[in-house]
Amino acid sequence: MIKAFKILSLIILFLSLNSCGKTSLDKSEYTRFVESVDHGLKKKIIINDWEYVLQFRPHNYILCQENQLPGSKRATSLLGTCWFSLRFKFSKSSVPPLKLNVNSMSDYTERLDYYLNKAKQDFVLEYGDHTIYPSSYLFESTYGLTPDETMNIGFNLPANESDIKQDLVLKFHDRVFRNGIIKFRISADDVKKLPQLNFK
Amino acid sequence: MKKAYQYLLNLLLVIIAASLISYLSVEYRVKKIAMVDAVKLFNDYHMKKELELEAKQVLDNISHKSDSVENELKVFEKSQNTSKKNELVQYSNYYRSKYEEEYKKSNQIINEEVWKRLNPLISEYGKDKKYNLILGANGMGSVLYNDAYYDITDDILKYVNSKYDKGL
Repeated sequence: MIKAFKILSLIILFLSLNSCGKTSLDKSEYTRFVESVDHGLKKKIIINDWEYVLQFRPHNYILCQENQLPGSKRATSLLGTCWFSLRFKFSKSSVPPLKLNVNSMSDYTERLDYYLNKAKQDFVLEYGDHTIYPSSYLFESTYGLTPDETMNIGFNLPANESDIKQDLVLKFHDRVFRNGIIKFRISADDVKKLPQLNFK
Repeated sequence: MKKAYQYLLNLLLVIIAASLISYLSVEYRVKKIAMVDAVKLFNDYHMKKELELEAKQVLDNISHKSDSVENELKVFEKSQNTSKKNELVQYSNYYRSKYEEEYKKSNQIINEEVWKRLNPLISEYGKDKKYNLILGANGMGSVLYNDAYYDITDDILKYVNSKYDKGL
């Protein structure tokens, strides 16, 4: 009985050590890892029935999404930058935020203009002592087909910083729906815990 | 001797039962009430300070423009060029009214955005700490007097600021 117990313990120990050592994931596993709220790279904040979901987008995640390889021109262009996407929706309605409570076409156009051209100014990234403004911004217009809207934001890290070494605090001031400053914190530890990606 | 021991034991049981009943009745009868200094809570909320800083940048920008027009106006004060002077006076009035308008607008927005965030957080805190009522004293007479016992301003301030700072 004791012998059987010892053998079983050894098997369990072997299996757990084996799973701990598995730091290389394939593309779909890696994507699932990054997009899971359990790993700290995706954050959700609910304010007065408004849902804001921030996704930190590591370089390898972007390369996965764009079917690019490490060492490619695209991979080189990402060096020294960090990227996020912010999705938002009003959870109590299926009307997309661009059309929600809009009274006229000019209201809609004004709102669209804000998200296309001005929302960039309402983002700021705090990285250690640095306050960084976006270097890149893209609003993904869904033309009212989905109940949520997405903004993609990119920042240049301070000079000589190729990796994330400190916590990232992204702030967005929601001026349209007047929900104040929405603050997201991505911990540097969670970024360091990212597994390796097997591109094959 | 045995009888006396039995008597003492019964007495002890009665005391324990009475204490338990009185404790439970007090626990379920007393409602938890607290008071919050709404002005302090509003002013010391970190998001409010950040919003104010943002608004200040916009106001400073208008103020700088207004100052430079005023300076230019001083230079042209004794000049004969009335059309330029009139133009500068118009600019000066424009920036002055723009400043006032922006100041009012930013105050109103800050007020709206801050309370929109604070109200659900106060409810959350109240539910979490099992309060039945949280009163907001704003210096307008809704709470005329309270002693420190009921004042939870500092605790609630700590709660809302930590939620904001941690991005929760």
